[in-house]
Amino acid sequence: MCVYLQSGMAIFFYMDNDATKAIVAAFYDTADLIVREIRTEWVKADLIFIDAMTDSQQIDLNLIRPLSEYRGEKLDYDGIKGVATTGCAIRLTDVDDGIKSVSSGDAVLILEGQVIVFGVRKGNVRAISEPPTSLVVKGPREGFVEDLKTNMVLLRRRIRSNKLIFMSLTAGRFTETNIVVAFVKGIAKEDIVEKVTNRIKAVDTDGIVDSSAISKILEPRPYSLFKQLGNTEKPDVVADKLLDGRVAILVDGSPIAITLPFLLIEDVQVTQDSYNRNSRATFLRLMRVFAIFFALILPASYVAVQMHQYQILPLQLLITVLNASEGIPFSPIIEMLVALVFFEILGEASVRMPRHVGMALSVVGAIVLGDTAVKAGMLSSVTVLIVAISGIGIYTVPDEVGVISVLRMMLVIVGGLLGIYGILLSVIAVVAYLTSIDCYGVSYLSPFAPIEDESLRRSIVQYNLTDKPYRDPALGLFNKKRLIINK
Amino acid sequence: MNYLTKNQLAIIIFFLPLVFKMSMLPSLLYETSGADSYFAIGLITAIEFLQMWLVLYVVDKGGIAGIKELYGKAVAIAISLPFFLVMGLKSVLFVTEIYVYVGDYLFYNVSFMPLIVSLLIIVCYLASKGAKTIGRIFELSVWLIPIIILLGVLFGKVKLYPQYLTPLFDNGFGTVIKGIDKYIIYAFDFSPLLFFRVEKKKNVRVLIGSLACVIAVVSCYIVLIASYGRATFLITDAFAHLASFNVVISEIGSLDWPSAILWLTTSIGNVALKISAMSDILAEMKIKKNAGAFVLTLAIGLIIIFLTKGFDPILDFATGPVKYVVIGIEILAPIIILALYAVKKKEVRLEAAN
Repeated sequence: MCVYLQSGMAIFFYMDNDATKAIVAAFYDTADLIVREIRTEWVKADLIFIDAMTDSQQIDLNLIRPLSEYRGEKLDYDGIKGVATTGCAIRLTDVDDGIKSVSSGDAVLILEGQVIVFGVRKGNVRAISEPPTSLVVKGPREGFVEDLKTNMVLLRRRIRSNKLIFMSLTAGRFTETNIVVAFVKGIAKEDIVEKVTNRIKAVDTDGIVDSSAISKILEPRPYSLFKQLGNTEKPDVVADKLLDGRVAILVDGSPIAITLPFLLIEDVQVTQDSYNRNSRATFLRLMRVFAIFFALILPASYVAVQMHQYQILPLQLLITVLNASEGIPFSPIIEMLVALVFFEILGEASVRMPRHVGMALSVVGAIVLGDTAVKAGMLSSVTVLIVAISGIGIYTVPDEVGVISVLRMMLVIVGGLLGIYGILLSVIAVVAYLTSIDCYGVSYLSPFAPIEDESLRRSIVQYNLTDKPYRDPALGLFNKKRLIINK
Repeated sequence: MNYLTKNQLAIIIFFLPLVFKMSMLPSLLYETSGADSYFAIGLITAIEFLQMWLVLYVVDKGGIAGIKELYGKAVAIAISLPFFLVMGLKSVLFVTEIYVYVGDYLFYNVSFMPLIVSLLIIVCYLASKGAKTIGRIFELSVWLIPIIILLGVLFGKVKLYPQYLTPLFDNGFGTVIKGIDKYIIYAFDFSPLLFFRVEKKKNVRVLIGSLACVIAVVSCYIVLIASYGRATFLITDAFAHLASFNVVISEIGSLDWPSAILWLTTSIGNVALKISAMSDILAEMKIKKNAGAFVLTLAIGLIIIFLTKGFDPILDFATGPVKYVVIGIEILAPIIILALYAVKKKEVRLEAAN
């Protein structure tokens, strides 16, 4: 006999139970595939599952034992539902689906040629904990885990509405990764949901092992220096964004959720802000913007001033700079690049190192090496100071660290070649590039360009919930009203 | 790609006439019109805004795109070509002014070739992106104005001598007319708008933008003259001098970053808007917009590097008889476009009546 699977594979077999043989053959005798024959006077069935992916206790107690101990009429699908004591039993019409179910960790029972799936997956999921990438002083500490269903529950707990829709997709020929597109029906723009699902469906690849791969598929400009999708490990952040009309994408095996459309200003706003007084939160947001700006500009400006426009410095400051850089064997541009590269290597090493060693390395790098470099006359103290200020400033917006550090290097080179004029031109070029990016119909620099009056106010100034009657107009939603106060 | 929102339009209307009137023109105009140059620039700006309403009326009717729909591509190209020449001339003049202003006054120690090449790369990039991106750049530039004003208010030490402004028309009204006549080429920056689509809504912001521009231009000239008196003709970098009134710069260096960024951004945006409109005309001739923007920018670069060789020759050319051709095109061409719309409307009405 020959069975043609949907995947195009043809399987030949000559044994008693056709479906069992088809599934076994499809797994090419893999070591972890278990076929448990149940052969009694009343039941002749094969139970197929993958070892360690299934809950062996459930299989023993709820399937094998009741089936083995069954005494009665010949069993069929309806009959077995009364015998097996697992929660979920589904009859399949296709052997291919049986193979997929076994791959996913379910147990498949072949009974009289019928394929019945039992949901007995093992629930060994990492405990919900505070994500290390977004630690908070105050606020929810739950973070997403690698299990998709747990992540869906975390969202469902926050939005207990039938309007919260999880649209399920599968991607990856080998990985068969489950992907969920989450949105709130009636708030999110359905054309964005459609675009997202179409883009994911259009990609036929070997495998999707993490949400970063989906990001690259969904980003309008995947090779851009700037990230164009939001990502977070925190369900409270995702829930908030869903209520704002955004769409979230969860990928099985990844604790990082993707949100879109994404605006650059989102990285400046953090959940912690809502726990601060409004004035404090607004002040902190402004400080983040200034910190990023200075982190970006300061090293390049210092190089440009030293190499080209030293005359713009007041005399006192010029003397300080000249004294500090006296005897340094490198040109200002090389000196700054060396310091920045050194800083980047230090940062990368402390991330990769085991936690405690990394901590020690940071201290050694920041204090001992910096001081030694200055004393040895390799780097000037002003250069070390500027790199340190820039290095601290960059981390006020952690999600943009990668972008800023690359841009910072580029600006230093331009500042060294063309002076302050080059820096200004480069800033204009970067801004021009950013203004040209549209993420799912929304300008990346919105609400600043184009100006959206309503969202402009709240982008920097922190408002109370009761002072935000409308959803972000920059997103162009149809359902704009957010707040109704019953008097 | 070529769509402007009402905010962007209002902001562009504020900046377009302002930017190149605030660099080298104050000194040039002072040489011709003396202390009355603020009056002359007021009239030049007023004339410019009269033409702007004409242009906006045409844009409201459908602009050049409407002519193409009604009369076909050939007529649209024929109407666009005079604008192409005017915008080309002004682009060469303004790019030259940018590099002279930047290279000679704003920053020293930047050599000519890297300066002009890097400038043109940015202009080309912006022009190829079209009105939407340029409009957004102008929107972002607005945020620098409150910073400049704040620095001025907090740290400003301006000594004004109103007597420098009087007596009005000391040398007669003729000098004012002479100044307007000579530098009228600095007016009429709105023709690129004919090639873009604009959000159609009752727009008070456009009116506010245009009034704010007139007030800003005239008051800046008044402040310059009242501060520097007869030395105004030496102020070839007016914007930087205005900004340098704030004393904070003496603490952190003699460069006012916000004003330098604002001037550079808006001047680049001004030229990019023109080249973008010109590349749209080329696009009608089957030349892709990106390629058109590149060719035009390259041509401007080559003209500046090999032909004009400095600001004075191109200024002499632009303020010579050619300026009357420019005025003729800028005023007559929109009127012709309106006439074409009226003719077509009449034809449609007659057809409906028959």
